[in-house]
Amino acid sequence: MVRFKHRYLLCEIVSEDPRCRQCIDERAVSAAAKDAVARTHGDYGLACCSISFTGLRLPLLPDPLSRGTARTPETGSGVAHRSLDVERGVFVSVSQGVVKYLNAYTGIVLLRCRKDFYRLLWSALPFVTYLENRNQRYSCFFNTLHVGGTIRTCQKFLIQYNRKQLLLLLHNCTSEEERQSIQKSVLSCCLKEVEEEQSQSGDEDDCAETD
Amino acid sequence: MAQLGGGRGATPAAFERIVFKNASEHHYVKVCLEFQEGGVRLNAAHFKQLILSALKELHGEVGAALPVDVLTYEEKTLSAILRVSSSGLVKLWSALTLLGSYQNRKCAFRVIQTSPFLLALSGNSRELILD
Repeated sequence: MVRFKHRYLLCEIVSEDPRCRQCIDERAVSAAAKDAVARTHGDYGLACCSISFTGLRLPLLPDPLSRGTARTPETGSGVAHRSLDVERGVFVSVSQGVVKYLNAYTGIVLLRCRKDFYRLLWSALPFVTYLENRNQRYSCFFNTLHVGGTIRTCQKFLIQYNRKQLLLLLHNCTSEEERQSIQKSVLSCCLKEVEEEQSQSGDEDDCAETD
Repeated sequence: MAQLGGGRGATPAAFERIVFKNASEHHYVKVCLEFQEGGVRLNAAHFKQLILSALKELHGEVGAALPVDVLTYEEKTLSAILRVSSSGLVKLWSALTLLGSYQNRKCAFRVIQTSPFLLALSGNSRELILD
């Protein structure tokens, strides 16, 4: 058996408008990505990426648009599940489409594409200039942070990246309350790492710097 | 391997291996446009536009940005010689193949010859008449 190899693009959605955060959802992001691929690489590019865009979606998850009434209880529970995740700061998307992970608060998106064609998707991403949701358009752009072969490496990178961002925030904060809350979150993510490492092997050289 | 060769003494290699990889910058394609019904006139600008629209449809803006030149164009026979950079040959060829209509009239591109050398298009061995 061989597996289908994929590439995962970890992107950050950058926007001047804070209202753009609201319209970041899976459908808007995948529509924007598909649109950009279709424009820059034509039918060929769209077909190449569509192999992984749709993926296993058809048998597992029928299109919510076509069966809106039948799926309302399911989507309702999905929303509740998602709001739970939001409280923990993670917004997990479960579909098998192009968007594998989406965090609307930090604007982080994980896109998936077949390994052979990820360059098509990658080169099309700079041409995304807006996200459209519920007839509202917010201009934004995608900033690709990392390209990885597995979700795991992307997750590792994202954790490191977020930790660095926290330090930057700490540097830029203005009031004492902000400073304390950020220090708390920095400590919490470091402590968690300490616990994990103690439970595994006991290597703590990473945390020595941050403490 | 290099050490072995040096240890054997001063006898240099008796042969020299030359690998010629065809790295020509451009490819030349001789094409002919066919319409299902006759009597369609097409000038050179429209011909180029047709090729560009075919490229744009299949390969998007990246495809439409390929450097494609129409070197010669004959209006009577609707045949032309195109020059394209070697990396774009496959894109051009596939776009021409999948072109189906011009102004709602069915048409098809026939690729007659293709070569990295323009001179090769001057003759066609398939059309030779042997005495």
